[in-house]
Amino acid sequence: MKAADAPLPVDAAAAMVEVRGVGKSFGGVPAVDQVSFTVAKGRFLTILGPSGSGKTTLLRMIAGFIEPGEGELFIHGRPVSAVPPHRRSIGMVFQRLALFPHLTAAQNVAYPLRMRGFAAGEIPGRVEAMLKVVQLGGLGARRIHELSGGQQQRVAIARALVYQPDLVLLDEPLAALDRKLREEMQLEFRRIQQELGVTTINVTHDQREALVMSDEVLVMDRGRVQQLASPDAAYRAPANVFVAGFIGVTNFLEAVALEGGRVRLAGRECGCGAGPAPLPAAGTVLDCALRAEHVRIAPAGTAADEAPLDVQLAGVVRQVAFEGDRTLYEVGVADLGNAVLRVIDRSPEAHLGLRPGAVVRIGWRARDLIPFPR
Amino acid sequence: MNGRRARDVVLWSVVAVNLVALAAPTLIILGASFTAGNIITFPPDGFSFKWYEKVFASETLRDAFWRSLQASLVCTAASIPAGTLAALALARRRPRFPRTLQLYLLLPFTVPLIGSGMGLMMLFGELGILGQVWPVGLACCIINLPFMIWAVQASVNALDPDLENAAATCGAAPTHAFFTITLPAVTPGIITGALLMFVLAFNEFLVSLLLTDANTVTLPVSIYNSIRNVITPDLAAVSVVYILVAGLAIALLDRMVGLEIFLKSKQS
Repeated sequence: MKAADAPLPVDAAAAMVEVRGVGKSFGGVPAVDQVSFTVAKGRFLTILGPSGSGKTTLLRMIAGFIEPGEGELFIHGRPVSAVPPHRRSIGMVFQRLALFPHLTAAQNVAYPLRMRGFAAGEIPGRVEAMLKVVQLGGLGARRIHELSGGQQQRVAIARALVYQPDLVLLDEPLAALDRKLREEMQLEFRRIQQELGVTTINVTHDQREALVMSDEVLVMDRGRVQQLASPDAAYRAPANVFVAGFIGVTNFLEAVALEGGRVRLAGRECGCGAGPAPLPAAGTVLDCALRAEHVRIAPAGTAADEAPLDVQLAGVVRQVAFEGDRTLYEVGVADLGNAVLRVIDRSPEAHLGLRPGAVVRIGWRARDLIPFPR
Repeated sequence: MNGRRARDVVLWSVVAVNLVALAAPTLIILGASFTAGNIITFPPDGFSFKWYEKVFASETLRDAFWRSLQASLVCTAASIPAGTLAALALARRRPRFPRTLQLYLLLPFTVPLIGSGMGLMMLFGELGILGQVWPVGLACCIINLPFMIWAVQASVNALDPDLENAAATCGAAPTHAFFTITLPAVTPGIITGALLMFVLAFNEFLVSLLLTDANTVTLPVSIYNSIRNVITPDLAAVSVVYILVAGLAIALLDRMVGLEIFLKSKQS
């Protein structure tokens, strides 16, 4: 709830977009609840959340398709609630692209220029230049259905950017692409965005996309802001249990706070890292997050790992999922009340012999156990 | 013979029977129209164009043809805005009772044509517009409108639901977006529906029978009046003219929905 409670910036003019206490309910159920944040000029913000988190509703309120039930939106410091979408300086890439099917690629890109009163003489030049930026030079005469999925994506991006709007909104446009193309387009869009320096708000449920593309990540759940941070900070210092669980592969272990920054975990005392808040009074129940890649695994009886591990336990492999560059294990740990820990091993070739049923040794460093008060 | 083979034989036999059954009436009437004899027979008795000459010479049939054309154009002109707007409203505006509305729009199909014909006859009589040709076109529009709505709806449903929003973010005001984006995008459906409405109105018989008098008979009614006396080969020739008009409409449809794409790419 960090962002929701944060004080409003003194200099509102510095923010390209400001969302102030915005909320929206559908049939009495709040879809977006008291959301506030700002995006500075030229920055790339991703709104990350599961489906039903309110992220698309929030984006559509910024675009002007949905009127906020409460609060106010500012673009360039101007309140825009009363401004219809076609008067807002916004380019948008839609989930299903919404390209104009009866026009060619070039006509699609020219449309916003014509609507916004650019001189007829300069339109073809701008369109051609924009098509070059998205690497579609020479394909302008093609009709939309004659282009591949990736090329259509590029037309949609060109149409959103061509008139240099103050703000570009992306409504999960990459979700429908296959993985390889999606990852290519993520980098591609990031390149274009930085080249043109356009302020961008992206919506996605794909944590990888959020981490790869953004300057800042706004994590949402059930209509509320859970955290607003850089991708690095959202990953390393999640603000709460939801963020810790949503980004990355995370184990949660129940523990009890002790004196001196230590916790009791399944009957044994151990150290822990820094959570978002100081450890509460001794005796308080905690949820501790432990990233799967921070858990080390080795066959039982082998020499100790090179990294000094603060906690070491015996376990039995339940499942092995080999993913090429890494292996995901599920390990049952008797000492943790038969809890199943997910473990990511980054050097799969070292432990290829591990099969379900194998007895292993697992361990982690104290600082990687992040405590969250309940 | 294995099961798969037997299934193929049955399937293709059914298809063959269907093809013959569908084409037979047309082929028979086509043949009969070229007869050299004086009664309608199949196979034809010799070959001549004399019945066609008679048809084209007949003032009654020619007038009836022009009146049918007139009524069909009125029907098409009325159904394009009515059907297009209704289809867009149903698909895009999410009305309060969509199912009820859909059913209501199906009503013209469930009421027997003789029923709607009499209803329209009384209504038009009350309004004092009977005895003219254009009300026949209007009546055809009313009873066949569901076809127009369906044709346009099929086009609308294929559109991206965010199409108008996309136009808005491009800077187009709602009315402008409607004329530059929505309408052109559903044009294939409008053309399909309009040609269908034209052919249906051109063929419409029962309702026209009730709405026309001696001075306003349309072509189908005129043919029917002749049949009541004696069936002569000139009626077969008229039927062939009919088939040609319908064929022309279908060819036009194929051309225009394809052509429309061509026209659009030349724009701006």
